Amino acid sequence: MKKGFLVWLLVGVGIILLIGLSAFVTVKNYYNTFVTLEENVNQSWAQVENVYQRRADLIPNLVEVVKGYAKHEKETLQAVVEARSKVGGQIKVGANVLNDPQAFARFQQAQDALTSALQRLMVVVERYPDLKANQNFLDLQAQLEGTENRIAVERRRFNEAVQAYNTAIRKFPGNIIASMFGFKEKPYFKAQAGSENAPKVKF
Amino acid sequence: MKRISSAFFILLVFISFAFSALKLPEKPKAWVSDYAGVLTSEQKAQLNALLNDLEKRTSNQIFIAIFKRIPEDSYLEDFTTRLFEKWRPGLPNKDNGLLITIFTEDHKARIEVGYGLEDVVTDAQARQVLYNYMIPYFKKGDYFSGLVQGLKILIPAVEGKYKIPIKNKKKAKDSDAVDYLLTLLAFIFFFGLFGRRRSTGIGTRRRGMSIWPFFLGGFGGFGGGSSSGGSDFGGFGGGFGGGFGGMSGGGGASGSW
Repeated sequence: MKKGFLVWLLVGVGIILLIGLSAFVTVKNYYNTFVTLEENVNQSWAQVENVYQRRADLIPNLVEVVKGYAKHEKETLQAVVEARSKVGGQIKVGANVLNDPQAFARFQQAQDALTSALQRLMVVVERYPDLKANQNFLDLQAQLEGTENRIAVERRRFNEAVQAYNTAIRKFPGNIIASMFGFKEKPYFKAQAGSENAPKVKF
Repeated sequence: MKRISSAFFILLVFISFAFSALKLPEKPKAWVSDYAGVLTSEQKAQLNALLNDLEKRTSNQIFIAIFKRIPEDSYLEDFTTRLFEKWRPGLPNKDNGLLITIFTEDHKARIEVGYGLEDVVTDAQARQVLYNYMIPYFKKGDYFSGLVQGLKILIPAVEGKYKIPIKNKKKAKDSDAVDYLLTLLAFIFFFGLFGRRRSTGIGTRRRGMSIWPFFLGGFGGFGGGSSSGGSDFGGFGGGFGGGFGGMSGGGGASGSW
């Protein structure tokens, strides 16, 4: 009688142990996957910030060079300077912005406004052959072109990282574990209005 | 009627092709890939020998790809960056690779620079190499001379930074056994905590409810999940850090003629 009870107790404890072990391993795997994916998102975000910073750093030189040749384009230049100053204080905002969709939208809006202002400037400079012959300007133009392209690349990679993360935390049964540990969906970059083909600047 | 529907079907197939992921050639065995057929085999051999030598001496990898046209659903920069992502020239943590793409019928070319070489081949320098050394020859259809002239500038530039002769290194295997043991230890710890908390009797019912779902998931996860930490999530995590080559971030320059 007593022996039978002991056997059942052992079997019960064994089953509970097994269930507990499998539950633990499952939660651990999901949790670690989410952490890895979130870390990828954060890393890609840091890259996005870097390339935007790089562009912002280029603008003062560019404006200076263009000013010397294209004196009649005050308004276009002014628009660039203004858009640049709006962006200025809020580039390195950190990954926290990813948990605040409104702040993220503001960030994107400010950056996209600067992209448009720069695009207008680059159209306008076509009218100044002297400027187009200036090696300093050509180098800056190459850097701006490269930077716009870097922005397109890093934005795409960021979106891909966010997609992988969002998909993982929304799939069953991962979604239960994600909500237990407070993993939330992250926002994407939207294609700029009028340029579905990613923001490419053609000079 | 039948004809219309089959035409419609063909159209559908076309549309689905247009929206399907960009088709990129597989990573080649040689440094020079001429899909447009503009180089002779001696020219290819010569360029390959030059780039092989560079790689053996310094580990810098330069790939050249010549196509006829850019696919409809892409553009020069996008295509080149994605090809770089697929071919991964350079070493994994050095990102010391370059990729030169030429599109003979689009009259476009691009030098894409790996992250690690962005300071020795800046965008402005890449543009100057393209426009001053390569494109003048490309205009005449002499792709070989353009490439040779361009490489004369690019090779010394990248050589200055990374000089790591290639040796066959063995990678350290991360031991699964240790990982497993640690997991088990952690489990014992976890279970101990769990048991103690449970004995306090606060909210037992609730916890029971919220814990039940992982039991359900638990059995599924036991077989598949434990080996690679849930790699069934599309492999993005693994692919991104990359263990097999360099990455670029859209640096470099584009040119047309």
